[in-house]
Amino acid sequence: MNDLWSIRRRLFASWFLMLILVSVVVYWSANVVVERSLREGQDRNLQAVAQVILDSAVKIDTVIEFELPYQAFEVLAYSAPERIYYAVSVDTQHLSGYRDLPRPEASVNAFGALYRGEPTRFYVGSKPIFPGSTERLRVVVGQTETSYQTESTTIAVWIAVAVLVAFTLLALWAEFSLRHALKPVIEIENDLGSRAAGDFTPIIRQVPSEVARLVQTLNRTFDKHRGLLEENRAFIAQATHQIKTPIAAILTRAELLEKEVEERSRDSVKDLIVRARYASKLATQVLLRATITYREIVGVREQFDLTTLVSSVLRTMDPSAEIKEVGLTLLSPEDTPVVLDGDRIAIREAITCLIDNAIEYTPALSDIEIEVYETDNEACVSVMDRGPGFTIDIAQLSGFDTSKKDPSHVGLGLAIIERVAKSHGGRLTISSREGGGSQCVLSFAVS
Amino acid sequence: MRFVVCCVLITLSFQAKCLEIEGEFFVGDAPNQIVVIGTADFSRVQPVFAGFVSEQKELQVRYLQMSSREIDRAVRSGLSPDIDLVMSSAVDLQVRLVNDGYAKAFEPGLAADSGWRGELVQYSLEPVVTIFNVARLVGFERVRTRRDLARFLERSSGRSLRLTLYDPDVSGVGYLLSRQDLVQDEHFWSLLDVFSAQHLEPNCCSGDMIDRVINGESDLAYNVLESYVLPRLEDAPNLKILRFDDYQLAIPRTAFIPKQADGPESANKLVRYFVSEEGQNRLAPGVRLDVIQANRKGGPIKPIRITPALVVHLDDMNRRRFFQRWNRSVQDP
Amino acid sequence: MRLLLVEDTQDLAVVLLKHLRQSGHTVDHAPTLKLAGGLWSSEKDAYDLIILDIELPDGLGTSLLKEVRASDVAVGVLVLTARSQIEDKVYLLDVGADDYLTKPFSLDELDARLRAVKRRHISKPVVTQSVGPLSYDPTNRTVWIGSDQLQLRSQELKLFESLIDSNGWSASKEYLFDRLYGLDQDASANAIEVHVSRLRGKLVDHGLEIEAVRGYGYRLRYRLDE
Repeated sequence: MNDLWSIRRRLFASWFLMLILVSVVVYWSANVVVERSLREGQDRNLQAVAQVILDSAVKIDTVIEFELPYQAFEVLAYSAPERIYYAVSVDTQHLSGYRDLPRPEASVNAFGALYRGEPTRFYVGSKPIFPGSTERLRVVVGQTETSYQTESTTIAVWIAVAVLVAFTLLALWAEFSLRHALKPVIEIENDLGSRAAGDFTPIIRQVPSEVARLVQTLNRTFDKHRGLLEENRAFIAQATHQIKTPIAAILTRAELLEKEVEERSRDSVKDLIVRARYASKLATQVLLRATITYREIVGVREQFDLTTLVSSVLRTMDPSAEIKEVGLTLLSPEDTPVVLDGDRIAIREAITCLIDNAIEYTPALSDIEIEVYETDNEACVSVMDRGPGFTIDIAQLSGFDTSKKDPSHVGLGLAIIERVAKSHGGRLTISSREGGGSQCVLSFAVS
Repeated sequence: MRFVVCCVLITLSFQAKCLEIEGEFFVGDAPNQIVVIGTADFSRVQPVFAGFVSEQKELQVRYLQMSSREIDRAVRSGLSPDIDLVMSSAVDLQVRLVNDGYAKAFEPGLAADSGWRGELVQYSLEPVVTIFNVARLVGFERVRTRRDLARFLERSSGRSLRLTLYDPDVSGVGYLLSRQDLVQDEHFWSLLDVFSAQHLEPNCCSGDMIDRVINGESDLAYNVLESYVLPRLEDAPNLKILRFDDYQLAIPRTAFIPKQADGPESANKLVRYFVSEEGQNRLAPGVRLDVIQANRKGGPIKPIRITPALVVHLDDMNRRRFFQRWNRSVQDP
Repeated sequence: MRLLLVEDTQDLAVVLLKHLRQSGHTVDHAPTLKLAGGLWSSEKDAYDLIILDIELPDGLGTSLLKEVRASDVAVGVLVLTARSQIEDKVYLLDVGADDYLTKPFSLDELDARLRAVKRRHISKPVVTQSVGPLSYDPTNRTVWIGSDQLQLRSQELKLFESLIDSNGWSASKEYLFDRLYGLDQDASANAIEVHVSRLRGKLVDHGLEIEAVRGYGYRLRYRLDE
């Protein structure tokens, strides 16, 4: 099931993505911010030097004198092991320093430029030579900024790493808290997982408010299911009862009538009896099927001895067999228990159905033999008769087979048996017997 | 002793550059040459080179002794790729060359502590002292600081003492030291004024100034390289050293690999040897890097800081202004 | 037999009473649980068998069933139920019903089950006729081996009786056929053989043997006689 996904994995994926994204953004913005602040600092230093030079400038006669402040330059040089440049000029006349320093593109004071192959920051300051003069003294101070860039990158990397570490810690914490927070949900999951199939009791453990609604909904659903099941069963029981009571009266009256009516009417009374019996049987089976479905959902299980069960069934079946003069023989010794874990009542009904079928279809005076035995992993009940044999495909034993002409040969019997077998990990095998008749083996899985 | 060779050095310069060389020396006789140009007297660096080639048997050191200005000129006009290392005591020029991009980086870690940008390495430190003729200067023992010196000279105004110091116009080191004095001591100009009030005769070199004091031509020489003085003390009983209590300057000797140099590995080896304990031990005791921690008389040593700020000292305009002021002190007493 | 019929459905009760009385039984009828309880407790030993409907207007028949089983009286109880819920049936058997009949039922089945239930609750009689190790009680028409009843079906019992009633424990086929089926019943010719073979199977463990007598019929023999 590849399309199963985990909340944790999803969170982690998004978290990881976020981590990368945040790191990149942090690195990038830190770089920008740090570089800008370093550059601003550098610009201020350059400006200070330029300003000192400008302030020191005086014009004596025709000579412009100014001072190149050693200490100011030293301070500038102290900040980073960078090359420093300067130039002093009046208008276009170069007075001192480096002649080939770049000029700013516009009227900006601070600018960066590539000078002698290195990124360099320059500051240009100027002032009139004396107040009101059109001649302007211009001072350019420059400093390479390689180490500033390296430094800003280093700082940005450190910040990014710090953020990365912080986020990783956060992620670990998130993982921890997620696990912690999901614990009640997992507990509910375990609770549901370990529940018996038909356990519709509400979940009563303390749950966090976030999943309280979920649990409420679950409990409501449980309630509804249980209610529906019960209702359904009650309805079928009621319906069956309602159908069967009048049939019972008809049947009983018909039977009495059979003995009293004249010869020529007797056949139609008999037919009436057969059909009434069939209707009654169908009603019984509908109820049986509903009951078995219910029990299956509810999942009733107990340990019992299959041999004892079978012999008890045989005892109750014996009168029916006796009417037909059919022999019922249990071949297995009654003191050899075959222990089975399952729904005793459903299995009892299945076996009853099976033997009932056998009695029904086996000719009068023949014998039905029943055997209970155990294989490696199955407990089996084998019913052997001398009936006409089964012509029905077991795979189609899921409902009414209305194609049969003889109404008594129709029913849910085999479908019910199959269902019980399946719900116990077993199956119904029908095979023909040598010399006529069939053998039905009903097996159940033994854990 | 100075001889000038203006020639086409076939092995060095294919671009037919004239190098003004003060001396050419070889250490070792291995076929692979490492060419060093430097300002130091060969005798001072020879033991280190010797130690180096004894370790690196496949290398021969070829040392070209030149003035710092000549080195500056040569580097700026484009060096031959054969030159592997430039060693100089003119730290301001060295720094400017590095600042202007004439150097390439040493291997990592080599220039970390005592250099700049990983391109300039300090391999030696030369303290600067003042020397005097003890016979001529009576009561000079009490002079401990430059202020003491100024007061002493003022009191001795009638005696016309003969003083000498580096002529900054002639000597790069002299200019560097004077600028550094100005950085350290705002009263330097007044000290110079006091000097001028006596008989002041600026000089080109430490050696000459020591000679003059020993000969009795000068009574006091201000700012002399200590390493030149120490060997002379024994033979000159009147020669005494004054190590000021306020501060003592020291000149770092530095080296860099020229940008054009094509085999930086041997230069790296050589410099690594220079700063190693063994290399340092082969230097004269007073010029080792650890001299700053050495237990010696006088005040704190203030080595000239290796900083690109030194570049401004070399500015033409700045120089011009310096010399205007210098000349006012020196020529108009 | 004397029976107590507890059945509230009037139609069915009338039919059953008619049938049972025709069959020669003495039947008391109680349409309610209360009346049934009264009848039973006044004459506990009088009844051989109780036919008990479960759904009665004034309660469930199971309460009477429990009351009967709580007493020492050995009386058969055949339960009639219309509900036919399988759990109910098993429950009824568990609380002491001898058998049950789900409505509707055929009168034949009722008779067969009545006989079976009755047989189960007959205690060892005083007057018996010995047949080898077995003893036959002509009053209640039961066969005993020691203190246990030998479960014989109606036809088998008739066959057994026919044989032990005859001289030398032998009888002709025709005679047996008449005894078993009467003149008006049509049965297949080999029916006698089938029942003989079944009876033989039930007797053989006790040393009794039914021998076929060629051209005549059958003879019952006790092996230890030889």
